[in-house]
Amino acid sequence: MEALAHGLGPGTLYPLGGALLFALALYGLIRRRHLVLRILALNIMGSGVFMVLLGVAARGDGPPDPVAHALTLTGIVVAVSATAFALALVVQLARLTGQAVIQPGPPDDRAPTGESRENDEPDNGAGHGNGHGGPRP
Amino acid sequence: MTPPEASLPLLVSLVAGLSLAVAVLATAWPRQAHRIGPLGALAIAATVGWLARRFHQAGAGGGEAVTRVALGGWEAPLGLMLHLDGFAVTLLVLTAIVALAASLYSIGYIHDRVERRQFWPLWLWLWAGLNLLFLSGDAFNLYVTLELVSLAAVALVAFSGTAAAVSGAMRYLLVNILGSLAFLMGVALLFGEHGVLDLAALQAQAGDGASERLAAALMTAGLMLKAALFPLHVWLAPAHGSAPAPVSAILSGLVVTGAFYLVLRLWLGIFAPLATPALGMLVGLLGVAALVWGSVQALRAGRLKSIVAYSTVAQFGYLLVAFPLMLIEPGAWKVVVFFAVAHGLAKAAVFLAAGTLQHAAGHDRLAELDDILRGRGRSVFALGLAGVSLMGLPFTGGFIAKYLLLDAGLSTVLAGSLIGVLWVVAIAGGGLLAAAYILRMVAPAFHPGPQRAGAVVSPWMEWVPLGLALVAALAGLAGAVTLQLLSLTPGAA
Repeated sequence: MEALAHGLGPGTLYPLGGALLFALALYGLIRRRHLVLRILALNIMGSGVFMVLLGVAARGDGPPDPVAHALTLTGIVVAVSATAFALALVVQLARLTGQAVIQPGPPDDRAPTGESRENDEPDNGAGHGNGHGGPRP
Repeated sequence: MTPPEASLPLLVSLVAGLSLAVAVLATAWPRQAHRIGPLGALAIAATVGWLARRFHQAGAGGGEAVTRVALGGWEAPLGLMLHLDGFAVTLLVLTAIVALAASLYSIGYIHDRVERRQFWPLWLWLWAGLNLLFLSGDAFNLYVTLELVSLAAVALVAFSGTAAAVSGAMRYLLVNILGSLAFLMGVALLFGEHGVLDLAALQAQAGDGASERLAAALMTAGLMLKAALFPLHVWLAPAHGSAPAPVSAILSGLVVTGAFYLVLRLWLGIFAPLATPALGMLVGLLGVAALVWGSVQALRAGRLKSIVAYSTVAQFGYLLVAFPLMLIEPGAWKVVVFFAVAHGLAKAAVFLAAGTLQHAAGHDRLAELDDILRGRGRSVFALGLAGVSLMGLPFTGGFIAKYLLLDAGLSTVLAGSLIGVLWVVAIAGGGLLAAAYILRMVAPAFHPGPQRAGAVVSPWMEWVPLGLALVAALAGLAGAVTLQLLSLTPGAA
C-alpha cells in the first residue's frame, strides 16, 4: 500500500481521493434526511474539492503552486460561512417545526385547487404543527 | 474629445465598486438602511445606464467596446480581471431595471423597523453579487460571486421566518451549496488541466479532453441546479412561492437568469468544442419536458404565487429548447438572451403584481380571490399586461423573442429535420399553455360579482408593477438595440 501510494504520487493520489470523497458525500447528501448530516455531507464534498486542488498544486516539478493554495483557503472561508448559515437555519427550522428535516413537497401540494382553507394557509405552517411526515390529507 | 470607450474601464470599476460600497454601507449602518437602499439603488441603476450608453456609443462608433479591467494593475494570470462585453451589459441593464423596480416596491412593502434593517443589506448584497457575476472574467471569482448571490438569496427566502419559508430556504440552500461545489470541482479540474483561471485564457486553450468533459458536466449540472433547469427544478416553487413579493420577483427575474447566463457563457466560450448535435438534442428534449411539466403544474397550482413560480420552470424550458438551434445557427444565442431578458422583466412584474394582490387579500388562494381581483383593477392590469408578454402576443418583448425563435426554427424545418418540427410545436404549444395559466389568474376579474379592495396598499405597490409591466410589454421595441449590443461579444458570432 505504501509502495502504491508512493508510486502514484500526490499529484494523482490526492485528486483520486478527493473525487472519492466527493462521490461518497454526494451519496450521503441524497440518502440522509437529517439536516445536520446533510450539511456534514456538503462539508465532506467541499473537502473532496479541496483535496483535488491540493493535488493540482503538487503537480509538476518544483515547489507547490501557491495559486491553488490561495483558492483552497478562499474555498474554506466560503464553506465555513455557508455552514454557519446553514446551521443557523437548521436551528430555526427545528424551533419552528420540532424537526430537523425538510418538510416534503411544496406547501402548495396540499391543496391543488380545492377549498381546504385550514390546510392551505401559506404563512403559518408551524401553527398547525404538521411538521413531520406527509402533510397530505 | 475623447472617444466613448476611454471612459469604459473607469465605469466598469465604478459599477462594481459602487454596488459593493452601497451594500457595505447598508450593512454597517442598518438603522439608515431604508434610506441608503433606495438612494443606492438609484445610483447603481444610473451608473449602469451610463455604462450601457457609453458601451453602445463605443460599439456604434466602431471602437473597441469590449473592456477588460485589471483591478489594482494586476494582470491576468495572477490578478482577477473584470470583463465587459455586450452579453454582460445586457444582463447588467436587465438587472438594473428589475432591481430598481423591486427596490421602489420594497419601500412600500417592507414597513417594519426591524424588517427593513434586515431586508435592505441582504438585498443590496444580492444585487452587488449579481453585478459582479456579470462582470467577472475569472472562473474562481465566478464561484465566489455565485456563493455571494446564493447566500443572500437564501437569507431573503427565509426572511418572513415562517416554517414554510425557512423550510423552503433550507432546501434552496442545500441545492445552492451542492451546485456551487459541483461548479468549484469543475473549476479545480480546469485549473489542473490548464493552470489558469482567466476565462479568456481558458478559452484560448479550450479543447475536448477528458478533464474538460468532466469539468463541463460538473459545472453545467451545478449551474442547472441553480437555474432550476429541468429536471433539477424541484426546489424552485417552494422557495420562490414562500418568499416576500419583491424577493420572489428578484429570484425569478434575476437570480435564475444569472445562473443561466453563466451556463450560456461557458458553453459559448470554453466548452464550445464539446457541444455535439446529440447533446443539443438531449437538452432540447429536456426543454420540451420542462415546458409541459411546468405549465401543467402552473395549471394545477392553487396559489397565485405558485402559479407564477411554476411558470418560471416552464419558461426556462424555452431556453433549453433553443440549445439545439444554437448548434445549427450560431447567431441564435442572441435570441435566447433576448428571450431571457423579456422573461426576466415580465416575470418580475407578474410577481410584484401578485404580491400586491396577496397583500390586499391577506392570502393568495386563487379560489377565494375573485372579489379582490375585481376590486384591484390596476394590479390585475399589470398582471395581465406582463402576462401578455409571457404568452408572446404581438408587440411585447415576449412576442419578439418568440418570433425570432420561431423564425430561426423554421429554417431548420425547411431542412426537414424532426427537431425543427418539435421546435415549432414546442414554441407554439408553450405559448398556448402560458395563455391558459395567465388567464386562470386574470379571468375572475371579468366575472360579475362583488368587489373588494381589501387591505390598504401603498401607492408604490400599485404603480411599480404597472410600470415594470409596461417596460416588459414595450421591450419588443428594444429588440434591435439588444441584438446590436449582444453582437459586441467576442468569440460569439
